[in-house]
Amino acid sequence: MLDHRGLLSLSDIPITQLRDFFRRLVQKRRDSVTRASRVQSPVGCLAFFENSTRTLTSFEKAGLDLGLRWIHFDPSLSSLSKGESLEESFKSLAELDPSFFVVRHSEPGFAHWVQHWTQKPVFNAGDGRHQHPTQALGDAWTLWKQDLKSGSVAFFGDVENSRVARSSGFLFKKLGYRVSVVNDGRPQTLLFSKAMGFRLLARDKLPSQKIVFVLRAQKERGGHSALGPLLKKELGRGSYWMHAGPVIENEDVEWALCRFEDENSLVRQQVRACYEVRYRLLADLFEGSR
Amino acid sequence: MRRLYSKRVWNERTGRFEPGLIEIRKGRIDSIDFGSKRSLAKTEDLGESFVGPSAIDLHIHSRGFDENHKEDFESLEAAAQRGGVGLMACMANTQPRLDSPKRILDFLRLTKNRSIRMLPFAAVTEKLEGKTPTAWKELLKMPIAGLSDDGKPLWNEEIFVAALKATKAAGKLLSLHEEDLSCSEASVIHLSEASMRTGHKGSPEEAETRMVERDLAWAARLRAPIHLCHLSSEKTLSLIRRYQKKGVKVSSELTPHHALLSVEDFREREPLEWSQFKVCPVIRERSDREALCRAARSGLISVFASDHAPHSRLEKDRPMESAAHGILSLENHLPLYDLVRRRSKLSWGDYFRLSAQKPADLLGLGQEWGHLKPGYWANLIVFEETKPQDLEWGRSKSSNGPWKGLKAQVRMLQHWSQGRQVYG
Repeated sequence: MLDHRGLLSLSDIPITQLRDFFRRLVQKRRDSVTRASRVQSPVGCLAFFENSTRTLTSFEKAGLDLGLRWIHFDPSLSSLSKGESLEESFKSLAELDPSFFVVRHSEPGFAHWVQHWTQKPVFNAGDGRHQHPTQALGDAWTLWKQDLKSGSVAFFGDVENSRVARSSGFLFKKLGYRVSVVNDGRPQTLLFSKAMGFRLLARDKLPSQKIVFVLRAQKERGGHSALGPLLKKELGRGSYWMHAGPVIENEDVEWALCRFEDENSLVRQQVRACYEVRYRLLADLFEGSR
Repeated sequence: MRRLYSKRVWNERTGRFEPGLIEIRKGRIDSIDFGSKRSLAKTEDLGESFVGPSAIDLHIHSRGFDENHKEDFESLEAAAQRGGVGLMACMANTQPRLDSPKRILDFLRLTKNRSIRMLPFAAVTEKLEGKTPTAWKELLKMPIAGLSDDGKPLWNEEIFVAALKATKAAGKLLSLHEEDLSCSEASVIHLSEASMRTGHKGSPEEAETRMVERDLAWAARLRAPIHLCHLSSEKTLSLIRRYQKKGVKVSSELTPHHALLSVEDFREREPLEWSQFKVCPVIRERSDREALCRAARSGLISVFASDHAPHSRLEKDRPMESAAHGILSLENHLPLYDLVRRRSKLSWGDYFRLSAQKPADLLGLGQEWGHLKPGYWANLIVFEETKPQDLEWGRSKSSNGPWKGLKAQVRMLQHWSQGRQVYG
């Protein structure tokens, strides 16, 4: 699953490796990982240039549970504000010899450049609209754990600006799910569905979908949702809704859906699954299970 | 007196390479004796090498001044020597900008007596900000190629119209960067499946066509010639065709990157290579590329112009969105445009028309430059066809470009500029 570069993108990972990764996730749930036996306190560097709640804390928690130590690189307090280049900043950080980096940035391809500059394993925790590989793995793992190993997944919302739609959708399709995008009538959405090989779905067909993946309007990237919130009545009987968070009530999903989350929502499970995936990936990095 | 003999000298009259003996005197072609069977004594025998006029490139970002780390006038000259470019029109977006008579004089002083002729464009507006016109009256009397704010569009219509009138009266070029920033701001590649897959902001064709349409309408109204830089889209060609039929004099440029690359090439590259494709206007679809090449063949597009734009490693070796716009090409001008020629099925006649004759005409130098004829400056290239081989770089100070994988099929052997051998 991991290579010497860490986890930068999902696009080149063979399906066999993905299946093997999920199989090992199942196994590892059964045997408890003892921190002392797993790693000898390596240091990871968290460098987040965009805000984060779930990704940052779950990487951190997973690392702490494995006995890792963390350096927090805060861009706002760094010499970047004095005009230092990103390349120079990361090369300097690499001189401190952390074992790996976890990076999030607004530019597509950023994690690849950090890997190139530092020559260390890098986990891509989101690069602009491009990819969010560990979220995608966590989302797929959520479905596996629910025994939802096939079926239909419809993305609902601002797909154009969403890295989650790109990477989770890509992974779902690779794993055999029928992936579609809810048509909001905008040419960008049509182009997106064509580019990703997803079907375009009329909104009134939502009840036929097993899983509806709701996307936040990515306002920080100039995005907006032309669809309005997902309504509870739009979900089919026995259907689920997912969301990578943060969920904005009445903007992403109607209030009633949040109240009934036990019934239809996989949002909490996603957070847990993403933690487990990140834990497994970090453990793999130091167990040599690449 | 110098004498060059080759079995393949370009004969404009017949449109063929023929055996010929060229006599060069005082920097100019004294005579060409086509049909000579062999070289005479004291003649350099070039064997079966091809001989044709050197190129004139209307779109070069020279750098120099405060950007000598990217390219200085020595490295620019060296790159042009190898590329076979005998005359370059250099854009005004140097640092500081070429936006005053004093700056133009500085440019002329630094480029005087070089083996390659360099003509500056003066900025249309101060600092290329599009707000305050520069001293056109004075500038247009100086030895400049014309006016241009290239790198930035002339969004202020009032200034554009005034500049069009001024350049028309002076008989100089108004070279236009056509971009509607309201739909292309922050874009890095054509709005396409490739931009969607990689999550980059895409630029639609309208970013180019809207400005082109505005400016062509004014050119028609004022009966003024107009020059459009670096075309990127098929739709723009339809507009040009329409206005040319109405009698508007529209000239335009084809860059090697818009002729040879498309978003399909971009999509196949690794993220670390993406930024090398970043250029303005953006690289578009294969259908656009093919249409541009057809337009060069039909004469709808007038000239080859490279938009050579050196950038330092720090500006280019980084994520695409924050990388600089621009692609290097000058020192491989001949091999790259030869690839354009092959892919576009251009004849050598088309090639020399696009690379030398039309650019000379547009600069008003068509009586002395751009032709391999007696009385003209002896600006010529000597080259041979080779097996496909990697493009050679190293003369420019920069190395930015998405050219990996392209193979040259010609090799420059000699370059003569105003009667002096400057390469080979």
